[in-house]
Amino acid sequence: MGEHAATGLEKWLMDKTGKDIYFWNFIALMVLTVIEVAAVYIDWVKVFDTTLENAKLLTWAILIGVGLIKVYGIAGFFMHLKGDPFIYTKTAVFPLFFVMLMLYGIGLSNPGGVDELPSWCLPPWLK
Amino acid sequence: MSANSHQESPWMGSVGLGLLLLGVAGGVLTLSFIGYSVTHSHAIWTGGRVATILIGLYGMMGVIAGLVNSSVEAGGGDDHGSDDHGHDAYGHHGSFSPIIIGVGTMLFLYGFVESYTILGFGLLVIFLGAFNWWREDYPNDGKDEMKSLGQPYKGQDVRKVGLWVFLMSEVLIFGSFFSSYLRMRMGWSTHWNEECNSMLESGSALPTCSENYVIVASEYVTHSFMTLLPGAINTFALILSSYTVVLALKSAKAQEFIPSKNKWIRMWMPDRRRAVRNNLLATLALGTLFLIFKLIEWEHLIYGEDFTVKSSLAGSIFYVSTGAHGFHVFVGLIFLCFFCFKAHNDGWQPENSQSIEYFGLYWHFVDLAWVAIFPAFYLY
Repeated sequence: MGEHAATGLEKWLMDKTGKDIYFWNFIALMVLTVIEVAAVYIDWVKVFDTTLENAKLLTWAILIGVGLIKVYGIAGFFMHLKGDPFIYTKTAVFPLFFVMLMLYGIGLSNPGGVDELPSWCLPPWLK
Repeated sequence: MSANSHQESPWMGSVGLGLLLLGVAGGVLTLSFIGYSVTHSHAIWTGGRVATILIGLYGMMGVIAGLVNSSVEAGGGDDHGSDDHGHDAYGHHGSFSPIIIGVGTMLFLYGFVESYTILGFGLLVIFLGAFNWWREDYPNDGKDEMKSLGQPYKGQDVRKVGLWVFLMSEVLIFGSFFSSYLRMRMGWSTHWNEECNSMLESGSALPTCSENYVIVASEYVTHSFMTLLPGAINTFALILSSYTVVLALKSAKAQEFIPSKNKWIRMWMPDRRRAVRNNLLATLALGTLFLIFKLIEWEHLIYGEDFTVKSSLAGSIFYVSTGAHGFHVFVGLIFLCFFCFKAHNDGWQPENSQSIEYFGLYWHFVDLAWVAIFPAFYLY
């Protein structure tokens, strides 16, 4: 949220609508939230005459996609990573590497990687 | 803006505001009781009690912070902006208060496991640390912002760098919740399972199509529009509160404040002081609303659906994750009280507006975490 001159899209929005990028970011976040809720309630099985598995996959893809756009909107504009020195973006991205490792290593790996650890790796009460 | 004198201490104003809020809390409790008596709605009664507790807490903080801080010289005797004391340019904002708050937090969390006495003592230490921090920050006019001297952050505000590093540690905390949830969810059979879902449609009771079938929170939450409503309102409230923080910062940062052309907004925010204060108050109100709806929703899940923290792993991870997020909102609201109080006394100017920016970073992060929690735990 630092100070910087409006350029590109920000300047265009300001000139055309008289509202700044924060306002439009706020509106976009609201609309995206409505899309998220709608994606869960729409019966994709009937809409596309497909299986439940495919329908859920579509819902999942919409939730992930919309979520990523919302994260970009909040971090990029409200937290102003787009206007601040790049070192802050690097600071923000750094822990994401470890989060990815956790999501893969804990969340998506072979369950055996969690439940069947060797004894030296288990806490005392599980040995 | 100096608050050094006992006679001129603005903190006594905090006592008055605190007493006023305690009165409001009493009024809210009475109204919610009347509302419950007439409608027999548990949502009104739960929401009223939560609102009473939060508003009462703000009031008590106003009274106690006012009494504690008006009895001590502000800023530890520092007079920011004065050259009389011979301070160097980087010496003014070093404070032990965050360490005191850190120790209090440790005791508070330890008390969760061991004893409520330790938990209470931890809370007391946290509040004392916060009050001391506010006393030190109250006269901060932004002239002596400490700059980082070493790479890679050379020339950046130390507080901003520190806050970003803090936020990144928070990313790891929420990342661990998500990875645990993902790990468990991958092993469960839920309503996303086609076989179970077809049974769900044919029968009235929840399915028992598989021994591994687990009822997750989203199944209860998305059951009807009314059960999803609190979570959806909370999402909009948090996004709106992020925007009001941005508006508060813009108002504080503007070298020359220009009131809005819209007469309703101009009536609400005719000058810088009221623009900053009212936007921050709107943020406080929206954050409070978030917690109220959060607990109405929990009340429904716990007492209406018997979905508790102990009932299953799904309950455990749901309450731990959403509870941790709610706690972050709560902490933000506690600090927001000070920001509102300082704004009420015309304490925010372009020179020291960066403090609102740093608070905003924290608040936007809380919004960011909700962006991930809402679809993962409520919709998925």
